[in-house]
Amino acid sequence: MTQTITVLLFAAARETVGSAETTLSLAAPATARAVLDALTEAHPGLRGYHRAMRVAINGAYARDDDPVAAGDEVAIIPPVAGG
Amino acid sequence: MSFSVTDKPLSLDQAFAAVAHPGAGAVVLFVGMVRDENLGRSVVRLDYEAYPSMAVREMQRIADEIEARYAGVRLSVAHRVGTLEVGALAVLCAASAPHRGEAFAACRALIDAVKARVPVWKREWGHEGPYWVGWEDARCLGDDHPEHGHGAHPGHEKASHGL
Repeated sequence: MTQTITVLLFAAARETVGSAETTLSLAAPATARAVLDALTEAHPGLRGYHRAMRVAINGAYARDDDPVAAGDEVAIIPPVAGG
Repeated sequence: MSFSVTDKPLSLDQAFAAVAHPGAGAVVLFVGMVRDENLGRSVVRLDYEAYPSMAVREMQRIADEIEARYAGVRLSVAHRVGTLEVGALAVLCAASAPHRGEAFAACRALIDAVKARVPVWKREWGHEGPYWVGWEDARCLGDDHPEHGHGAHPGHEKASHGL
């Protein structure tokens, strides 16, 4: 069984993909790690940055094995550079 | 207490007012400004981008952690987004406390955590064109898909040929 997850993209990740969001088909149950793996598989331009990007679920940083469910707000967080 | 991401100019008065109160004997303000160079590259302006809803929540989480560490502090953060010229105010952090020691320490902890954790990004514009700060530096950092090894001839052997 697969689920479709919408992922928000920012900054350099957004520009590399060419869109502010993208959808991924993931085997259920999915994890934050699976989101990153599927994203870099679908967008080879991101592959070199796999470990530089973090996943946020519902507005908080996720760990690799945190679950992702349909309806969650999922975002890719490139290296932050505020200030 | 006030945590915000805004495309409007930042106000020192608002940052101060967000943390000042009768029990506060000290207020420390940190102002982060757009500088004209970074790592040897000249910078003309910066584009700031944020994930606003998460940025505000992460600011709040950081503040909760610092307030648990320093008794009696109040904190605020305002971060600017959009295109900022050199000299513009990019971030304002404020900390109040009964005494100056806690106010300085809390403000320092606040800006350090904001820079490390809050989802805000900046793109430099200078003579070398646009550049997302931190992105290229992160490339291949523990990459799970290494593309090393191109057969029996490592790259450095090429250097011994020709000329």
